[in-house]
Formats: sequence, structure tokens, C-alpha cells
Amino acid sequence: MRWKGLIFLAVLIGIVVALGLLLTDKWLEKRLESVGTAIVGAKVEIDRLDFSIFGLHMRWDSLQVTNPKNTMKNMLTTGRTNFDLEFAPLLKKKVIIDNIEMTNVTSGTERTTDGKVEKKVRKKERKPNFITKTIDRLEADVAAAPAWQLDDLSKKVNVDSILKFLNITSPQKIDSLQKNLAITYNYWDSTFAVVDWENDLTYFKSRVTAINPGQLQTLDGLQSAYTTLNQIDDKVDSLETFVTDARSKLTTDLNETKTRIGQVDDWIKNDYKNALAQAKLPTINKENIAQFIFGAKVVAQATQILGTVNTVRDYAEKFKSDKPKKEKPPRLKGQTIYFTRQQSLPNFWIKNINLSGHTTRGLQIGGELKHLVSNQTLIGEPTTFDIKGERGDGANLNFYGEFNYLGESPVEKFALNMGAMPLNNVKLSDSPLLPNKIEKGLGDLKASLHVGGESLNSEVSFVANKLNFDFGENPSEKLVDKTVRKILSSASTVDLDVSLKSSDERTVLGLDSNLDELFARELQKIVGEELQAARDKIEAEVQKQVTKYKNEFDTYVARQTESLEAQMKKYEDLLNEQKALIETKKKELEARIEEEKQKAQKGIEEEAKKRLKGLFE
Amino acid sequence: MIVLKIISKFFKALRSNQSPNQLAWGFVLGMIIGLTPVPNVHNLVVLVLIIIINVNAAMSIAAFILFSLFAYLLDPLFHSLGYWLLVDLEGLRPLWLFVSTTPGLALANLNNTVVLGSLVVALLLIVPMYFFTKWWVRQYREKIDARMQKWKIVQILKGSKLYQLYNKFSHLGD
Repeated sequence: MRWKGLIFLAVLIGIVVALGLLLTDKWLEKRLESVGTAIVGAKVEIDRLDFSIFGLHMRWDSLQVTNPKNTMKNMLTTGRTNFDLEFAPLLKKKVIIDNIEMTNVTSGTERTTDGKVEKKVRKKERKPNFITKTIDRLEADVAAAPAWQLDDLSKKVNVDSILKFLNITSPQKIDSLQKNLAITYNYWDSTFAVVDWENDLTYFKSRVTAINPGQLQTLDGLQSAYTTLNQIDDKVDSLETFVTDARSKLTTDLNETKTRIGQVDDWIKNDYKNALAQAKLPTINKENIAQFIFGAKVVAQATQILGTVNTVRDYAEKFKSDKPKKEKPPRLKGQTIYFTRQQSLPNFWIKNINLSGHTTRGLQIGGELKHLVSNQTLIGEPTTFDIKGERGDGANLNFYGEFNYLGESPVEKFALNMGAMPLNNVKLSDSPLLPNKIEKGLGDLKASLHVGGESLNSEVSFVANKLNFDFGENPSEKLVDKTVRKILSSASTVDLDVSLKSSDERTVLGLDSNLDELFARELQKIVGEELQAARDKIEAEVQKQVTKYKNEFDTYVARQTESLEAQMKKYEDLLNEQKALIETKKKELEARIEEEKQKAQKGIEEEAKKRLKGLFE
Repeated sequence: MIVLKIISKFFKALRSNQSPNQLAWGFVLGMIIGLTPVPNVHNLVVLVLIIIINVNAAMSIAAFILFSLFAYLLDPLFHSLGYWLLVDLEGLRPLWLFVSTTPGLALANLNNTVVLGSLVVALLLIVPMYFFTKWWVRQYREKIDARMQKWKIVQILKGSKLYQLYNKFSHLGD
């Protein structure tokens, strides 16, 4: 035993305790801020955190959680917050809090400094699931939506600037196809150059022509010529097999090239389609208007909520399973495996949060969040929140939410009702079709979202009444702007119905508003013809750029095909001519042989008669 | 200067009157801290042991530095071993449940794959490393030290101004 060591240890413990008392608050504050920042992806700031190690009491004066999508605004702020930690569970590394009193809770407040995280927060890579797929599909839809610049619409559509950036791919593809076809054509050219069919046939022809049955006087000579003719016929027959085979292969090759040539028209069509997509020329109809006015805003809200649901699910899953998949943690950090016994306490559990505060529009809100817990199955209760708010003028709010991970499949439910909400100075959309703030008006909103396992269903119904838009002191006199003003002036009500359904396979977002038809009709009058003209001009330009290549290609293909067909036909004609010649010669020889045979027979008969005549005289 | 001091203390300890047992235990305890992630309860216990029992602290520091490097390199292996013990070995689940739910013991962080994996390796190495260090200390004292003193590099180092300066002031810290 080292006594000096014991004294050193005592001094060391003393220093650690003293430093702990002095620095715990700051350390804990920084630690909580850094954990919160890592989870949210934007700054989380705690002001004047005070932790009493003896009473296990914690409080802070304010908490600011930055909105990661708009880092100059807070997603949530709280005023003074108080709570006690339970001591016994801490020894088991479990954080249990009975009740948190959170006052002065607000949302959407402006920040004095940017809450963007300077250092890149290391985001955990998640496997795609139906929620991330839904988010991706919704964002892709918004990104692919036509970019409408109303200022540009009211002018002539500048097709020339669009044409500068056209990426027409058909000429390259045609060139590449031509090179490919050239290989086939060259093969046949070289095949025809190598074969000696013409010489062979000419040689056979000369031999057949040399046989002259009229000059052959003897039967033996005739029969010998007939045998030679048969031999030539056999050789011609075997040559015919080659020619027929070549004809069959050539026909197949030429048919194949025809099929490939058929692609060219599809390429040109695609070029036109892509050019239109590149130009992002809007199609003015009811559905597109709704998407244009409200799409981006609805999708932004939906993706934010779904992102939160996904994060909560991810954490719930992590704590629920004591057989988690092997992760790849940073060096020396390891992976923590959570072991839980039924009826034991969860690792983290805030039983109740009482909150009170106000919205940026002056609505007094109050409510509670129950059972914020790492593993719901251990306590048998879902996490719920219920927030109510009201204001003297009748405006009211009711927001209920439930995160239920007790069953096999996770379930999240949300219901938001807002009634008689004043819309003064509210901008319903960032779309240029709704450029103005509402001067006066009241809004009612009913929204519900049900996410169950691998599907979600959401309905939103919004009605804005008694509307009066603020058009400013010097409204623009541009035609489109004037039309927008005319429509909005006549519309005292704006309604919007949103329906979102999604599963692992597909996502359907439906938007319907009373403004759709009004805008569609009026805009069609103004810019419909202009847009059609722009489309026609783009099509003409695509045709112009492609036609030259296509014509050259067609000429090349026709020339090559014709040349090969002519060559083949020449061989076939020569062959047929030869076969006909042989056939004729054969008949001539056969006739001559018959004639000689009869002549010989007649000679024998006469000789026999002569001899018999002498015998009987 | 600190590195020089550690090296110097390490060799001084090897040549001191302390027994090979004391040096070996110092080395082994330092090895445990070096191999496992430092901010953990078991390392606090090991640190207290180094301070209060009569082991050589210089050897502990040297072992800590040496094995910290190994720990960094072997981290994936520790993670895999820890994961295997915590998740794959079904028979050990009651043990981990007990460890995770027992007051005090739960704070030991033994349900972390790297903490458990590295601690198990460290515990397995205690006996062989203890005997190896003892043997090596003896070898050093009997054979290696005398030879090392004759090495040119040692003589150059000893003759260097830096070493003389260090020698001059080193006792001030004692």
C-alpha cells in the first residue's frame, strides 16, 4: 500500500469534486446542446442550465431549437424549464423524469443569429424505407414541376434561349448506328469479293456451251457428253446450295437492320420530349395549377413531418431490440446493445411534460406530452401529445398526436384542427399566382395523418373565408399580374383539399382548390397560344437538327441495301441461267441419243432383213 | 520534454531496485487502461489501484501509450468480439441482463461492444503479459542493459545538451 498514493488520490478526488461542482453545469449544457444539435441537424441552444448534483434537480432559463429548413427561425423555444431526475434508476444508467414544467413555449420565432451548423453534422445513413421513399417521390415531383415565371409568360416565350441549351442526342445515335450497320454491309461486300461464283458459273457455261449435240455423230460420244453434263449439273447444284444459304443470311441481316433503323424515329420523338421537359413549358390545366400554387408548400410540410416520424421510428426501433443489427460505429465508440427485462424501467422515460406558451400569432397554448420513453413496451403506453390553444377572438387550435410502438407495426396518428384563425398578413403560397399577402380573412384547417406500418394516409382541408388581398400601393400593370389580381379580387374564399396516400410501391398526392379552374381558364386565354407556338418551334428545331442526319442515314442504308441486293440477284440470275442452259442441253442430248439409238436399230433391222432374204431365196 | 521524461522514467524503472513483480503489475494495469476506452468505470478502478498499490507507475504510463495504439488498430476486432458476446451468444443473455439492470454495475458500460470486447481481451492478456513482462525485465537487467549502455546512440543521447539539460532540471519535479 502506498500512503503517498492514498493522499494523492484524496487530493485528486477533492479536485475532481470541486471542478465538478464548478463546471458540471457548463459541461452538461454543452453536452446536451451537442447531442440535440446532432439529432436536429441545426443549432440547439440552452441558456443558463443549472444542475444540482445533490437534489438531482435541473433547470434552464431558455431553450432554442433551430428549424433545420430555415435556420433563421426557431422550430421550438421554451422559457424556464424545471425537472427532477430520479436517483435510484440513475445507478442503473436509466434517466427517469416524473414531470417537466415547460413554460413560455413558442414556435416559429425569429432568431437573432443563424442557427446553421457550421461543422457538418455526421448524419447516420439510413436504409431506404417506405417513408424515405415517399419523401423522395414527393420531392422529385416538386423538382420536376414546370418552372413558371409569370413575368416571362406575359412576354413572348423566349424559345431561342431554350434552343441554345437543347441536348439533342439523335445525330450521335444515328452516327453510331450507321457505324454498326457498316460492319454488316462490309461483311457482305468482303464476302462477295472473296467468293468466285461468277467465274465458276462462266466456266461452267463455257463447258456446257462447248457441248454441241448436232456435231456428235456416235452414240458413245453423245453418252460421254451427257455424263459430262451431269457432272457439271452436280457442281452447279452444290454452288446453288451456297448461293441459297447466302441469300437466306443476307435476308436475315437486312431484316435485322430494318428493325434497328426503326429505332431512329423513337430517338427523334424522345429528343423532342426531352427538349420540352428541358424547356419546362407548363401545361395549363386544372391539376397543374393546383400543384403550381400549393404543391411546394404542401410537400415541404409533409416531408418535414414524415422526416420527424422516420427519426422517431428509428430511435424507437433501436431501443426496442436487444438483437440489433451490427453497425459500423466510429473507432473506439462501439455499439451499445440495450438489454431490457419485462417490468423493468426503460432507459429513458419522461412521464409527463406540461407545457404552456403562445404562438407567434398570439394564441395562448397549453398541453401535455406523455410518456416520452425509450421503449414503450416496458410501460405499455404510447407516446402522446395533446395541445390546445385559443384566443379571445374565437381562434382556436387543437393538435393531437400519438406515436404507438406497442404492436408489431409502428403506428403514428396526428390530428390538427384550427378554427377561425386570422389570416392577416399571411401568404398562402410562395407561388407567383398568389403573390400577395392576405390583408384580412379567416381560416379553418382540418388535417389528419395516419401512418401505419408501411402505408400512410393524410387528408387536409383548408378553407379561407372573407378574404381581402393586399395588392400594394402600385400594383403591376402587366397582363398576367392584372389577371391574377382580377381573379383574387373576385375570390372571397379560397379552399384547398389535399389527399396524400403512400405505400412502399407508390405515392399519390392529390391537390384540389377552387382557384384551379379560375386560373386555368384565364391563363389559357393569355398564354395558351404562345405556349403552343413555343412547342411547335421546339419541335421544328429538333426536326431541323435531326433531319439532315436522318436523310444521310436513309440514303446510305438504301444505297448499301440496293447494292447488296443487286449483287445477290446477279449471282442468282447467273445460276438460274446456267441451270436452264444445262436443262436445254440435257434435252438436246437425250433427243440425239434417242435418234442415234433408233438409227442404229433401223440399221440392224435392215441388215437382218438382207440376211434373211438370202436365206429363203 | 514529457516524452523524454517518460522514456527516461521507463528505463530508470527497469534499472531501479523495484522488483520485476512491481514492474510487471504496473505494465499490466497500464495495458488494461490502454486497451479499453478510457472514460469508463473499470478504468477508474484500475487507476486507483495504480495509485494506491505499490506498482510502477512509469511502466503503467508506458503500457498505456503502447496499448492505446494497439487499441486503435484492433478496434474493429474488439467491436466484433463484443457484438458476438452481447448478441450472438444467446447463453450469456441473462448475464448481460443482470449487468445492465444492476445498480452501479450498469454504469460500467459493459453493454457497449468495444468496451466489452477490449476488456475481455485485456483480462485474457493479464496472466501472459504479467509473466512475459517479468521475464523481459529480468532479461533486460541481466543481459540487455549492459549491452545497451554501450550502444553509440545511447552514448550520443546521454552526451547531448538536451539530455544534460533534462538531467539538470528533472529532479526539480520530483
